[in-house]
Amino acid sequence: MCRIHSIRRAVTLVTLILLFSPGVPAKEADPVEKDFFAGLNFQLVEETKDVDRPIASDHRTQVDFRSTLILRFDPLEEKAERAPDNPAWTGLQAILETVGDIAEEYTALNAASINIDDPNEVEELQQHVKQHGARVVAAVIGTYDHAAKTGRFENSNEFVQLLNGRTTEPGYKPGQQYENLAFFLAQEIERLQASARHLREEKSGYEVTVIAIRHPISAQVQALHVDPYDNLPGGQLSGGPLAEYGIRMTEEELSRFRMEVEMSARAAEAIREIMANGDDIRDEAKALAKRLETRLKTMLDSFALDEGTLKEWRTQLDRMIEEMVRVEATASAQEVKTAASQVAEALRGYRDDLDTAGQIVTTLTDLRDQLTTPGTTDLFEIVAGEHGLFTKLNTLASQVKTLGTASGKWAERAKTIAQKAPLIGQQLINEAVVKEIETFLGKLPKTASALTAVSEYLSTAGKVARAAETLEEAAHEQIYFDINEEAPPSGVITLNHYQLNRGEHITVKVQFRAKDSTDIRKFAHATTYRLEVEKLEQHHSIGASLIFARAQTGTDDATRWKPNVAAMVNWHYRHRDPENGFEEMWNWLNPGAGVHLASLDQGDDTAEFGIGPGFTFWNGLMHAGFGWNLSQPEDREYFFLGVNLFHLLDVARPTAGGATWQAEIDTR
Amino acid sequence: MAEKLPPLTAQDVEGPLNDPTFTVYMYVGSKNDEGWDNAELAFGLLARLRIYLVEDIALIKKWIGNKKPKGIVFGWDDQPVRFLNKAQADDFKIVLTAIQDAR
Repeated sequence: MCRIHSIRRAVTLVTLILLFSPGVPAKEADPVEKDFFAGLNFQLVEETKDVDRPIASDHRTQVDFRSTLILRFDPLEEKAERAPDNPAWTGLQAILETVGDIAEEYTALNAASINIDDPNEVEELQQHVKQHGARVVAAVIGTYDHAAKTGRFENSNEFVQLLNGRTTEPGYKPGQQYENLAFFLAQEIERLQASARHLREEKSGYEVTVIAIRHPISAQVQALHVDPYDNLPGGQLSGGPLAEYGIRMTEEELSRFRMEVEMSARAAEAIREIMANGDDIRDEAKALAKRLETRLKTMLDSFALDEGTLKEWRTQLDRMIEEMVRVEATASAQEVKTAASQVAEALRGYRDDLDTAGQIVTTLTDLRDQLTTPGTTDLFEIVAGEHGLFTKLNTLASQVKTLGTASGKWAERAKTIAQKAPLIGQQLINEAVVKEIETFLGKLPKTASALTAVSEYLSTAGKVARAAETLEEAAHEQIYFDINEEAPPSGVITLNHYQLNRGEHITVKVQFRAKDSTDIRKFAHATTYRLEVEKLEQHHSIGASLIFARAQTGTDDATRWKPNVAAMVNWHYRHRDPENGFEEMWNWLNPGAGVHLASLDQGDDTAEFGIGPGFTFWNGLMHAGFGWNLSQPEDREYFFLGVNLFHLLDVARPTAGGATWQAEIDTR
Repeated sequence: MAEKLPPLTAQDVEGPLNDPTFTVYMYVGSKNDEGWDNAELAFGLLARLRIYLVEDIALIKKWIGNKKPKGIVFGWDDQPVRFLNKAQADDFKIVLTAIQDAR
């Protein structure tokens, strides 16, 4: 309890510091600055041995754990001259070059003198008019479409009025559509050129940095080195990249491997113990459940409520409410009517709270019954299943909290009833009921705070993750580069210098700030790329698993399935961009093939080892294979099935408290 | 130049409608409508086009029957090629394209 309180205090403190610290990055940029930075060209690219892959910032993207991430900036010089490369600019320029011609044609065609009795002349004119019209329609609609993209008009009629000369803007003449069209085109082209010049001048006032943060699945967040944007060390593997085909383990891999061996060995030992002493363990489990049942019974007794009592109280309240409704309808004095209405309202409040109390009793009874029901054997279902203890405790916490909040109105309701009852002239309230309810409520605050502490802690876990990221960003000095004539240097993050695991998240942030800003942590603009680490294409995995092995032939003891430990190395291939159902299925199954070395228990020797090929599925979660027992002179062949307990924990994690954390990270 | 019905009558526009060197666009409404702005834009940009502002729809019953269009597009003769509703007549792109397609 104390620990939960101190965690909550720490979370509150961190939240307050972050809220009031000037170091909090600006969430919303100025709209003008937003437009300004929208024109800035930079791109995060995943560089693999085969190809460079651009990464979008609007969704999470998978990257290979061995790749290099490069944030590239376009040279500013190109951007400054960007107007001629801008489709709007080139489009309008092309139209302007045709306007003179079509205006001349328009005049000539309208002035043409035609002998309408000569079908050839008429047809020739009609053909010219049609060809001319096509050019006109393309020019006018093209002009509007280009201009509309830049937000020049609110609606098309504004454009039409401009070309018809019905506008207050200077330079436009009524009824001179061609002249107005040319004038508009020239103005727009000049506006785009000016905008490009402005962009160049403005950008020299900003500087930029790049930050990368790693979110391991079960460890603290860590800032990754972005060369040359910080002075962080280059990663624990910076001495050399990961081996692609070999099985040389890094220090971290070795450490994890040792833990897997130890965990699998303990699990095997526990299973062997259960097999040998199953009855004793069952008795222990029963005793534990009994103790919990006793606790719940004590809690229920402390409420001094049962379903019969609740039903009786509710009946009394219903009767009193009906009586008040009758008084309100039949009384002649308005004062009495109002009093009856107010008392009825207060009684309804009591009735609602009583119903909530009834729900609490039901939940408590369910919890008690669940533990005492014979035949309940699935421990996972009891604890974490849909109707398990965890869910019910959360429901209970919510119900108690609701009733605790409502209890604040009880004194006021009692006062209302006491004041109004004499006006009605009847003895309305069973005082014993009120007293019992007050006694019940007196127990609530303490219970509610105890139960809600857990759910509140879970809900703050995501905030802790966000706060940790911000603190990690602030923990080291970032290096900023000017945005001027030269492009800022590319930011390089070498992922294979870190021991990254599947499923880890990485955020890469490109942050711009004004050079003359007095608040150095206020960003004018920021773009965030969200990445998920995956092992893509050819890769290998080394691990230890809990296995169940049996000899193919031999004694009864040798051919029994027995728990043991196996170390294995497997090679996998994961499609980077699955192009069909088969490749998607392959990635889902994520098969691997390799070799294993197992400890066995199939003979009389104290130490037996076996070796052979094996297969793995779901990224090393499940294993199967066969091998030869090197310690036996005969009946050497064996089969095994195995599970990697570390992977199992990783798979199970999102269903527990980690889900909240993950969801928070995903929605950032 | 743009002309109005009335004072012009159906008989007055029959001649221009049958002139094979001109096409015609009629707009039914008032001179302050967006649709009429579009008709004027078309007139100022497309060669050999006549436009009429129809303030009394009964005057053009001969060409539209019981229909109540806002825009009537004629080709090189007196046969309507396309009728435009209000939304279409208010869209300058549709008006220009419809007149061009009728030629």
